[in-house]
Amino acid sequence: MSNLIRFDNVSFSYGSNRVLEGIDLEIREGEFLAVLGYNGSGKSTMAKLINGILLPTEGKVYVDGMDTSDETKLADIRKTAGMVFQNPDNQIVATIVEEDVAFAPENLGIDPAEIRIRVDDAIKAVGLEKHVKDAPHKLSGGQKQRVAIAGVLAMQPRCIILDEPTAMLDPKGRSLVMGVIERLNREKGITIVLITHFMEEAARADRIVILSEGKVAENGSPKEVFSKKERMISLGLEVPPVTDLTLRLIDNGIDLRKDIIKPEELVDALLEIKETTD
Amino acid sequence: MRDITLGQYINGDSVIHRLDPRIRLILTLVYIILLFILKTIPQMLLALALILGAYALVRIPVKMLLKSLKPIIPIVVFTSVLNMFFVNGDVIFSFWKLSVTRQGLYYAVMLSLRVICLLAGSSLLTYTSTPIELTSALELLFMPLTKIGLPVNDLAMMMTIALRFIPTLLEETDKIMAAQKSRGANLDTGTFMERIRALTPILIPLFVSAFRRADELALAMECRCYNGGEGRTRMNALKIRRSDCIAVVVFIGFCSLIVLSGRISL
Repeated sequence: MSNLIRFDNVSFSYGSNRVLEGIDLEIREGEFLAVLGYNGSGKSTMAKLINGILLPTEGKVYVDGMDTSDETKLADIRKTAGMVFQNPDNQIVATIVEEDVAFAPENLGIDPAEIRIRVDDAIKAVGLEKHVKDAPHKLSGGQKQRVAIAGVLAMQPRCIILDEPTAMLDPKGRSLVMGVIERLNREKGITIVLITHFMEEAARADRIVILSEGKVAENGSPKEVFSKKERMISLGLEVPPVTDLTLRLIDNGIDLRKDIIKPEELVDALLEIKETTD
Repeated sequence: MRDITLGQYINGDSVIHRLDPRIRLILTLVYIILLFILKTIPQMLLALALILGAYALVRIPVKMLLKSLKPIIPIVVFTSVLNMFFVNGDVIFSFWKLSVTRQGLYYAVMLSLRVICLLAGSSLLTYTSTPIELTSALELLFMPLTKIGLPVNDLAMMMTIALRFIPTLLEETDKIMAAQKSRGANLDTGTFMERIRALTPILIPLFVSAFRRADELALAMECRCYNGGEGRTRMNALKIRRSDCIAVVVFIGFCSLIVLSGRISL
């Protein structure tokens, strides 16, 4: 698969405050990438560099070969890489769900009939068919966040960057939003860059990048990254609860693999042990 | 406060609901102008009948109309009474230093009818149009003014966003009030000035948060390729249909008849 997004020795500073330093990173088309890091590690800055909201102080960011500092390409870049933010309330523009989803294609000057099709598709993809005509303020947090995702989806982007999309949601909203994100990645092949604080969300990604002090501290599959518990803790993070549990079980003499990161994996492993002892 | 309805739109599928909002807006304006042209009580009564007919079409209960008239009753009564006493003319009866004249009485009735019709007419517009419809109607009607440099697209966008954020900010106000009360703020008692001053700790956090929201919203809009109105298309573009033309003809016809009826009686 080809590279959709490329960070080429990127540094970024707010004034004299250096947030990112010498980032080299490639994100493949169709990949599901999770970005972790403690608060202030530069995660959000990295996200904003991708679609040209911020421009690198040094180095270059390329989206589908387009340089984000090239102003003539800005609309194309933002159409290719859509962005969803943390607070759903602050990214919904219109007073009716379908009008909001139509906002981006309207901005792009797309034909009304085509907008209609895109809006219906996007709303279906996030499972909000029943709320097409509702006012956003009557929806729950998880529903609002799905409206925001649909609003980006209507641009038909090849990549969606989500900046802590579940941070303000309750558990039910969180799992629904994560479900939508995973489905978009698997079924529509949309590249996902998920910035998150939740290790169990990151465990669902293809690859994890950990930022620390503005640099890429770890870059690997969830199994590789989460099997290094001490390293995670030294980076101000933790391992997913199920990994933590597995490690404790191992400490207590139960024979398990160290790289268990999803609940279903632990269940399978334990069932296997049960069968052999029966 | 959460359930506050924006405007007073009543969902429905009447002939008037189905009109293009631009036509609804223009016809309302025509009606208002008509009310100021009319000179006699019978004409005014016809105008009232016209608007009541429109209410019947929309099937809005009269009770609802009366409810919306309620707040202006004191004003109507007050100005009518003033008119009754202070218009010079043929005295009907008088007491103390005041006297009621025939012209004064006539004028008072005229005025009351006019105010009632005005309110009924403009309410009908808001009963049958969503704020969004009104915004897009205004946007399209004012579009020619972009030529003289009026940023019509931007203004319409601002109005949409304002409408969108009213419930959000109301909710936020509720939260801030609860937060300040839980820290001992006294909002409900005290003199008028004290209560005004007690609003400061509510308004300041509200403004700070509104600015923060505006910042984030601007960012989100930029990410969705917003760059002003240029080259924008609309999903639900407004279209003038044949039913709209018929409505215009019928309505203008009625209005002309009412105006002409005044001529005949002269």
